[in-house]
Amino acid sequence: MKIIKYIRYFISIIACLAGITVHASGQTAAADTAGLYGERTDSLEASVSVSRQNGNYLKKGSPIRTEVISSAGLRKMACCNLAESFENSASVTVGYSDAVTGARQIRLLGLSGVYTQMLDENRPVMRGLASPFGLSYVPGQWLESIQIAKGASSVINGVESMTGQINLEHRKPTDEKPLFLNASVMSDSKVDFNAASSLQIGDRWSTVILGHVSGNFKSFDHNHDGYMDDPKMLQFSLANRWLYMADSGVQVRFGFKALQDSRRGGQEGYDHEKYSLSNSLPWGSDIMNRSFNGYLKVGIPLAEDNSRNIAVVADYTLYDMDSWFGSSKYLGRQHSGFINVMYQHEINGAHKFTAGLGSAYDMLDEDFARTVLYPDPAFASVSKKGLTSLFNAGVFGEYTYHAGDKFTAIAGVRGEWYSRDGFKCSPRATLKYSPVEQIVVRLNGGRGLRYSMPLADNIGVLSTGKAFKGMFNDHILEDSWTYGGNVTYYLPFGASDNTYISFDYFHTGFNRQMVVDYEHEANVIDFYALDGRRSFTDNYQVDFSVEPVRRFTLTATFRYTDARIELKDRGLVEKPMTSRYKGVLNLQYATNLSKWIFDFTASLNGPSRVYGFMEGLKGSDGKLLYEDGHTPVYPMLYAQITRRLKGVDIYIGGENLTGFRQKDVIIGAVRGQDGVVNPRQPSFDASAVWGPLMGIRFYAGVRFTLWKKH
Amino acid sequence: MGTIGKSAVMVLAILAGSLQTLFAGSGPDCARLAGRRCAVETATAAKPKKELKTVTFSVSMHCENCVKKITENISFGKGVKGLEISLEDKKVEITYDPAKTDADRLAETIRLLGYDVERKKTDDTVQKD
Repeated sequence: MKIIKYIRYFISIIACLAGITVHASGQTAAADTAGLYGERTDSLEASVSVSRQNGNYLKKGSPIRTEVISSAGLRKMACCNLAESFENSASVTVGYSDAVTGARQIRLLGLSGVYTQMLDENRPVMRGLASPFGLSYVPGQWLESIQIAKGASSVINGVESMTGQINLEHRKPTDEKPLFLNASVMSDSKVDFNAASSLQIGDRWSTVILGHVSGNFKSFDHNHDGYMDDPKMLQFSLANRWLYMADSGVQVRFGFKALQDSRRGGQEGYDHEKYSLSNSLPWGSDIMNRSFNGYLKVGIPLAEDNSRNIAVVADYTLYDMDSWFGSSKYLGRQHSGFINVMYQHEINGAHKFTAGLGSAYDMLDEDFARTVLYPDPAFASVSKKGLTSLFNAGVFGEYTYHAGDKFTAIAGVRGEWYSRDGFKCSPRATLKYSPVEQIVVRLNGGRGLRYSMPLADNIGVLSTGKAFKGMFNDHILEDSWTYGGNVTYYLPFGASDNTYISFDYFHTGFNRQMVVDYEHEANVIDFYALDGRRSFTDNYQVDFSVEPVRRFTLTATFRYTDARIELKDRGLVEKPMTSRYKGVLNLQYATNLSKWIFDFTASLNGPSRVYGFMEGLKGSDGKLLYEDGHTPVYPMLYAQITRRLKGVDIYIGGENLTGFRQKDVIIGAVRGQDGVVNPRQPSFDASAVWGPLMGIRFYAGVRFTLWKKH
Repeated sequence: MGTIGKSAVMVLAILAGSLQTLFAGSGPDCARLAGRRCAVETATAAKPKKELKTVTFSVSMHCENCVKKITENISFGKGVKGLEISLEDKKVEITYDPAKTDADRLAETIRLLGYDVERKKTDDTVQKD
């Protein structure tokens, strides 16, 4: 019996260590070995706090300014998918790519989400073709936490992170939850089902199986513009992750994820086979996405105390997107590979270095053809068919110096050969200084590089009738520098020791960038390289968090963005469709033992400069829609009540409670007799989205968790 | 609104109804278990001052995951009125209603979750409500 007891003891230690690894595997500059060995000092933070978890909070020990959305934060809203998980955050702004496909895009530091590196437990994901719908393909209920690191973060996972990194932590194989089920329904008929099962098989093996089905079976046209408010869709995904922990300390992680999603938007009844510019059949989009991902991570300790170790991370993704938009088709298949081999040596408590070899590869097979009604026949029909390879490989190194808890300095560099641009060197540096326990000062800066994918990066351009000009089929290596910092003061009041006020400033400037210009010529989207012109953003943010009385938390955050770009023949202008500010107030109250949880979130979304061609648009009342060339400021309100019972959570909530919606989202000069904007015209544009497309929505859901018993 | 929309609203209404039942039924056992037990609870409810006890266990916890597991499983246990966990001290302090549970039962529940449990202090009467 005693032996069994010791085995149990051992399993719980292993499970807990894995848990600590999870807590530690944020993507800070001192990143652990890709989530394999997490001996970062800030993981100790986890062993101090005990009380109820905060929803969103700043990670105290992290050298880089890192915002964590915990599992509690992920439960504050319907959070059907990753895009919706960011509603509580002012750092990340979520919008729609267009009014047709339902594709969501984020902005971090005032720049498109393509400049933020998405990581799944420190493996880069959602690259290239997988990016436009990527945020919709991560079920919120699969996640344990999200970490948003602002600025130039670690070089270990590549330097595609220009504005920051968002790392997703999934439910773990070591979780002692053999069964988790979730079902939710939205008042607009969207349904969402999730299942997860974490199983431990003996002492060494554990696995988690994750399943998801969601659908939107009925689409509405509440604003009676002749176009569905959101697409009809059906999505399936399945993932299985394994963890093997040998007695020797060797850890092996591998897994796969498969998904299929089909969606139809636009006008009801669109059939891409029958649609043409010469008939009058309904216009729309028809998209089928399929993806398969497989990965392997191996970590081998070379010293008994794990002060030296080697890790290998290999990842492969096949992404297939078949899409039709009116008389345009974009059929793409992408093979993406990523490999990292690294050696980590913690010389002593003060000095540590990581060095390694890394490579990323994307092979894109495209069949693109687009025909629009444009006077110049040279631009009315464009196409591309064939293979494109984008490849980079090189070496990296990162050195970390710790002077106790007071000071951390990290210097990293990545030297890589890019298949189309030759050798590039990307240095990055991070400093963290905490003169007293209550104050943390962080600074970081560095270079970011990524290959642009003009169509995938700007999927909204396909939901227009505009002609494409320029480099829309080209892939330039975008090159930026980001630097900034953060000061956090921990204040001596409130019911917890996590009352803080924090100030951020970050600047991103581009040396090379793919500019997608809607304003260069009428009814044209012009793709061109920045070519010496200026493009930069400045971001300021204040965060405040307090628990004034026990179990009542208040967080308030405000972000101000000044994003500017020099457009051809226009000079330096405010970057269009980029909101100037966002404020978020979140209140949460939980009763004793968290049996009831009440959440309320309000956000205020600042104005964005509209495209030049929108300035003269008039609403149905004959008044200008955008009087000073800017969108109106609008609020968003969310509320949720959760009732928690043993193993069961039941929640009801509402989104966009003020019911604010963007008016006249489908743009076009000519309307039919029924008042519907004609999609067969060069001024047709369903991609100028700046606000909510859906009005007030209610939802209800249930979560069931079965805990492992011994 | 279409048929599916109406069905969605109906599902919501049903869920809201179930929630209401939960709101109302602070003692769902009471509705089902007619007789003595229910009478006891009613009697307790009628008596405004109820003695609660507290017990402290030393538990073999190692990290936040253990804290989470114990919190989720103990908070909703019968008779549990308060819970304080200190990972640093490996201590779990439970306030409970002695009419509904006892320290041995609570210790056994933690043990079943896979931890070693040792009683630190004898029960104290801590508060009245």
